[in-house]
Amino acid sequence: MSEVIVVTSGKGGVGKTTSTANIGAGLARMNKKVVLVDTDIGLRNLDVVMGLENRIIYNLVDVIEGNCRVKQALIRDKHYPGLYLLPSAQTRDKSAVSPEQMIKLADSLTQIFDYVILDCPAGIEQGFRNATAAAQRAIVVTTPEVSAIRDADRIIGLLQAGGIKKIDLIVNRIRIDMVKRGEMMSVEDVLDILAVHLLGAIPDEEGVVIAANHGESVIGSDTLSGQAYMNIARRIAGETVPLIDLETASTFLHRVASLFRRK
Amino acid sequence: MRRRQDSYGRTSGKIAKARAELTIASDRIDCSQDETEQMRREIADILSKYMNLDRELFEIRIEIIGRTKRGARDVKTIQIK
Repeated sequence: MSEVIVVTSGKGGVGKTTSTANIGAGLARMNKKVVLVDTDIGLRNLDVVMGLENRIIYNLVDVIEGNCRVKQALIRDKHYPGLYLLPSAQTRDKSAVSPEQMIKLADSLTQIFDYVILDCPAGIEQGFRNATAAAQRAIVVTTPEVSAIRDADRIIGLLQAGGIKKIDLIVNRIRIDMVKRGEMMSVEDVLDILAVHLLGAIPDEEGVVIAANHGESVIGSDTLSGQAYMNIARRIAGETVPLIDLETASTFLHRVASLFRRK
Repeated sequence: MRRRQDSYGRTSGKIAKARAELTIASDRIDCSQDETEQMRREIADILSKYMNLDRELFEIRIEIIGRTKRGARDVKTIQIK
């Protein structure tokens, strides 16, 4: 049974696109067939995060306007044979697509894929309405900052009003050292405020940026963030995976790393 | 560097949490923060008529538990805990 999931946040720059790419890679690593759809028309960036920017021929608007068939626009990932990207159009704007067209497109993708993941643009305008209209399930990405949490709360309200039943949260960019010092909200603090189901928390690690620099995911890498994203993918697929205790995990990894350095 | 604690001895993480809670509470019910704060005080006043209340520890949470469309307006049912 395939699922259409929207990844959204309200606020920009909290890690929607990076999360979409990593969740997609995680699910593909579990041998699922996954398509990631960049629904930010006019500002494409999921292709760059995935390192597929040079392979784009057709885009989402081409498919919707019937200039090509869906399969012609799909780009296969470099690492995972089951992972595909449907890129967004660079030269068009949000008004090129209607919610009805997006629903039809998502329906046709569910014939081919186990997971259709929609990377939603920031904001709550047309692009948000398009992406959320087609989804049965939502993943809200936030960071432990007042502004991002406030927007996440607004988004959760809009998703609920839009009839999306299953809403999960990812708390991104947790800095464990700062949480320990009391200079950053903890995952628990964020959950206290937003009161939605937690899908996972991602530590703020250099590896995430470095991987994105190369157009790669952190899945399969020896990092806490890679492990956290993999666990999120497994939870999406319905597995019960205990949450990583970031505080102890970070010190443990530290110890392991320093052991190796000594040699 | 900014001082790490405010006059109540709270760290910036706790300050952030309190600000986020206050902002979201007033967003949810479409009231300004001042009005929300006044409501909180008035609720505390009423409750303290009937029971012993520690105003320092007193906390109210406002949650939207239902939404209904009435014409163009979205009517929210709120629950105060």
